[in-house]
Amino acid sequence: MPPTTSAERVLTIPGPALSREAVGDLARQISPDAASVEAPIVIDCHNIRDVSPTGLSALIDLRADHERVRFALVALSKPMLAAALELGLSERFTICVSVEAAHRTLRQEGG
Amino acid sequence: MRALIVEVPSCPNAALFDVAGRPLLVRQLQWLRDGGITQVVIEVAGSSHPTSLYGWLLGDDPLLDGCTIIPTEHPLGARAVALRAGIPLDEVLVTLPADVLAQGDLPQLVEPGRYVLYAPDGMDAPPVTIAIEALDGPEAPPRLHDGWALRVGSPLAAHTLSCAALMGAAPGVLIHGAEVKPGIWLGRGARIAEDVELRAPLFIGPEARVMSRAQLGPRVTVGRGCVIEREAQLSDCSIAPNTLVGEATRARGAHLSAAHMTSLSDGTLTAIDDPLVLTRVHAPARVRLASRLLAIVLIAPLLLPWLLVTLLLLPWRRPVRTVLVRGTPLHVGSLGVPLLDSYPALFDVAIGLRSLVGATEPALLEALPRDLGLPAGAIDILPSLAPSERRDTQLRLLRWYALHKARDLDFALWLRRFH
Repeated sequence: MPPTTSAERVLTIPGPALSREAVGDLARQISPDAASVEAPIVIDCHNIRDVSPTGLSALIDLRADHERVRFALVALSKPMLAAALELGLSERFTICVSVEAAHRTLRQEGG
Repeated sequence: MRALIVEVPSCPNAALFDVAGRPLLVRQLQWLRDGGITQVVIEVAGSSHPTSLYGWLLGDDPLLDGCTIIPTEHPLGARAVALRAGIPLDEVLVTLPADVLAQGDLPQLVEPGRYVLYAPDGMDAPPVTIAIEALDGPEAPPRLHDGWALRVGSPLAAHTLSCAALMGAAPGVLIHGAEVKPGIWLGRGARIAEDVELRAPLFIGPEARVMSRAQLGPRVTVGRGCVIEREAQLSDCSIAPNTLVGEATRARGAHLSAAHMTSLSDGTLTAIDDPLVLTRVHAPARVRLASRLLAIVLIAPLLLPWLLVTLLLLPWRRPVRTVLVRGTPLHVGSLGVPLLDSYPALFDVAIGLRSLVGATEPALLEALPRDLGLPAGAIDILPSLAPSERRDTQLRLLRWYALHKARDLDFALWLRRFH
């Protein structure tokens, strides 16, 4: 099925920690909405001050569970930026400085 | 004005190329800052950069104030990076490829346009064009600039530029050291024995030590904190920071690091698995005394239960065996009883062969991604570190763990096993 042109959804991780539970909440917000399942998803990380390994693991798994969806991580704090560099999150997520930048990037790159 | 430093597909690790004692990326930021540009967007493509680059980018270097890091999957080009950084495409900015070092008066370049800069005098290299324009704007005709620029696309190019800078042939490249003789520079805190033989061009980095009767140069750069043992002979070499070059080692035309030698001419990488020739100045992390004491304390009370279970299982299978991991004999095997599985490995911990939880950092990093099943620590943290069956996820998290291993993290992971 070709990608839809649905508008991006913006989900915010409440923070202050990127935990397995926080990512689980994200996954629940993504899954039930079958109509927009292929709309790009922007994850706002500006509240995150701490990352846990299980949270990171869950985030990578979340991405792998939605292979057809384009994801963007925005407003990465230093711990998230560190994880993004060290884990190679950029191979899984589009990383942008802000929600607005993610909107423009996803629209441009999505054609 | 802002600047973009964009990665070049043909040269993915240019940022850390050493230019007379400083990484190329640092030199670029210094040049931009000297020209009044402090807001710089730096693209970091892929995840195969040396961890030292990530450490520096995430550190507190004042040069990074005002910088924005954009991790990307692969080099995207200036336009895509600007989009991700939230820079309007009609904004005039400096676009600098990650493998280009330029020098010259940046304020002269305030007028938008494309500037052609030639290589420093005496260096045979094609001219480089630096764009100062809006990414969506019309392409201006190139004009000549009286500074210089050079594409530092390989360790050899970086080394050649370093040597030119040491001899004063690359104006604007600041050497952080004292010129004790023409072309021979000593960094702050560097110490050399009285009977060493030094030939220009030569740079000995800060806190480095050169022992008796060593011969250095010509065309050698020694990184910060290196130790060059006695009677070593090095010419046409660059030495990575904190590398120990062993006694009487001879090298020519190579970049030397703690465990590798890379040919400067063709980039061939040769592993040197001999600490008498090359090693780190600082020894790899050793097993903590507290872990060893805890292992000794646990060995006694668990002995009887472990013997009983082992004897019961013995008629059917041999539950514990010894395997060689990089030359170290380690106990591996499973009894199928969670609390007793780690028992034989406690002996390894007690004598300092492996850590109690997870792996010691260098051992784990060196083993990735070849050996996911490495029995690196007595207590396996993988189930609580990456509760995922995806190998890719596990590898990524193991790498993250290797970089962040600490007592608190180990304790949290160990506790999580019982959740």
